[in-house]
Amino acid sequence: MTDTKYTIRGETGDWEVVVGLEVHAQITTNAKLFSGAATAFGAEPNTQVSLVDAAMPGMLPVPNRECIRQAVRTGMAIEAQINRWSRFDRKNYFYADLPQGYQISQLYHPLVGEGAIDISLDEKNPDAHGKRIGVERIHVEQDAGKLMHDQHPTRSYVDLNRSGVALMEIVSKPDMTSPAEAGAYLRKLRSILRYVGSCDGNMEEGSMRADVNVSVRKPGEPLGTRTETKNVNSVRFVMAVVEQEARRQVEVLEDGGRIVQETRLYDPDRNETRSMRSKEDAHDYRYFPDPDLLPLELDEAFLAECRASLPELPDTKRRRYEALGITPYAAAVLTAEVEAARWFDALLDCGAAPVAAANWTTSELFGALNRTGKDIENAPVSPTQAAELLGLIADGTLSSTLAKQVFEIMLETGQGAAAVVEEHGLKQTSDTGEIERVIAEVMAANEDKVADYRGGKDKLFGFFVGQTMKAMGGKANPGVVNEVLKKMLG
Amino acid sequence: MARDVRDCAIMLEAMAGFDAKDATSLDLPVPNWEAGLSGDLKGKRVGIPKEYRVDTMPPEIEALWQQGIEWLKDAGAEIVEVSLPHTKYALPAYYIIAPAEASSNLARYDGVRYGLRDLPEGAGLQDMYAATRAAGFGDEVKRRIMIGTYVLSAGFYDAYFTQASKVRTLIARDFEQAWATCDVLLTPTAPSAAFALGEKSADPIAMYLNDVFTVPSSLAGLPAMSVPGGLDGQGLPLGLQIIGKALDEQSVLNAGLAIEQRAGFTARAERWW
Repeated sequence: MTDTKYTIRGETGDWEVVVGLEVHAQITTNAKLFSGAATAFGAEPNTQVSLVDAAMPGMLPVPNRECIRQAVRTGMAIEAQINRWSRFDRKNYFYADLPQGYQISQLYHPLVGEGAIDISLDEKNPDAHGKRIGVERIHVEQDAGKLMHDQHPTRSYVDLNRSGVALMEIVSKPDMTSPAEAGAYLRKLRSILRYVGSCDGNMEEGSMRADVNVSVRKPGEPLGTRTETKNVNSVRFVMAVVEQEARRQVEVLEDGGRIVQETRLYDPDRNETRSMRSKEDAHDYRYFPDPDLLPLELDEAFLAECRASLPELPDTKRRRYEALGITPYAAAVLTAEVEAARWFDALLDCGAAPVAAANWTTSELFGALNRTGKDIENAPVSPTQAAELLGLIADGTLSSTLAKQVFEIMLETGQGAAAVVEEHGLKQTSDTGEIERVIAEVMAANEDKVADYRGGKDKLFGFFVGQTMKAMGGKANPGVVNEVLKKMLG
Repeated sequence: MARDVRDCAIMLEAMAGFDAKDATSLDLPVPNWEAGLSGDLKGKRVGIPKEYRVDTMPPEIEALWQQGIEWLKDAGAEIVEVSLPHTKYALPAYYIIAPAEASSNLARYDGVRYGLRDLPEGAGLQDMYAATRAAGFGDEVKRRIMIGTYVLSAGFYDAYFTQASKVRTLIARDFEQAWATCDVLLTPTAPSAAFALGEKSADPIAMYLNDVFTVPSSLAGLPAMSVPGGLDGQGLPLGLQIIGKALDEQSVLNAGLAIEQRAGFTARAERWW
């Protein structure tokens, strides 16, 4: 649970917020849900449309096995009930972007039943600040096409490339009570989808979008009337919608008004939600089972294959890292994104010591990626190269300061760590004779400070370390320097 | 579909088979129905469903049905009486389910992509839909779209569509139980002779009632065929219907052939249109 409960302070007291999310996630497949047409993003309008997607007379839908497989794997990843018998229904409504005049969806018997997603509100201590958010169901459905209003002064055009693309609708329970929880849920769901590989989670390209259900109530009272804000396309916007919509509802209620169940839209430029249509003029979708499709019946072999193909999921991976001695924070950071986790696993596979590897990856590598604006998939250093660098630190060849220098050169040149050390002579010196000689020089140049130190100014020790390291170009082994200094300063 | 039973077998063979682009089609080999044709029904049991004996049926049809029974006996079949208790619910169930599907299936004729588009001056999208569909569909189609839309609407769905779907299951079960005692069923094709084109347009219920014997097999997904058996007093053709088990088209064709061989039906309309 959250340490401090999120409430909205109104004139009549504190209000609680209740949030549920319906997330539409585009299933990562080459072909559409019921046709063989391609699904690549950004294609020229109407170049990825089969006769089925354009609803030509007599065309029939045939389910794409891969879409079903991905939805089942997603269900398994959130430990949900997988329904071995499910069915497609038609959701009937007229719109120019909907060629069939209905969307094939699942209302009465969805593919995936109840599951749960564990979220964390503090990545420094994920387990201590966790919360379990229920998932009501996941069903599979077709996407609609897209209207283009900016192509002609008086006409609207229709792009059917997206028509028939497979979506998962992932419906949460109203278990979230703050913008932070809604944000954490969406981030965690996105992370799981990307681990599973069932959705690329790309919210900018519309592969993932959320309908945000918000209501408010006084503590202890029954659920209030909710509004639904449609098609919110970033984590930040979802959090903003929860906050703005809750505030708006509190204002309406405290002014003596009532909340109407309605669909709203979020305007990011003005950071406010606006009414789109109320329940009174909502569609009657006339759902009924699609007679063109048989019920989906999943056999044990199919389910076993789905289960066997699941990767290690973020929470399991995080706990495995923690068991290796990695801090909960570093483990959380390393497992949040599947690409980072994959990279780090490869580093461990190269034999790197886990704790040192985790610290180095989260500070040095992530720092460098941030600086250069690169993502980890295009990291300029491979796990093998990083393992080599970490090996040179572990065996004393490089101090941490030298390691940073070596890493910088590696980033610039793409060379391996050992080659950089060799070429630039960056090896750490543990040669006591050499260190003694330099220290003697430092002491000779600072006789007054030596006297002060011997007179009791202990703090000057650091000064001598610094001077020695500087004189040796940072290549001295700091442990040896300390030891020799203590002896020589007496 | 064809002039005689053999042609029908040939046609069916040509049309049947697995279609990868139809998720409801079965992936099974197509039997050689023509080669399997035989009017000899020895060892076959023919069921006579008692619920098909409706009060309003003209005596001529009653007589033809009895004649059909005699012909099949003559072909070597054993006649048994069977019961299909939910028969009377088949017609109402059919006229809920079929219009419901039709209302949705026909939604694609909206004037956006193909076919007729009626776009009155200054019309918006909704106006275009209304004008196009009003101009393009005939009365009976509009009637069925409206019935279908109604029975699927919120508040009516359970009372109509869900109920009709349950009836459909019961009808299929009736047939399943009948197959315990017979191989095919023999019934009249319709409770009256053919009516003239447009004659019953003003009374759609009367028109729908004519389908009372043919919709149960459609609801249950069973093969059925109608074979002309004779003429009524006005010289209009009357048919006999054979209904068979799922995927047992051969028995249906064979019983049809046995009737055809004995009916000696040679009547031809002067003009086929």
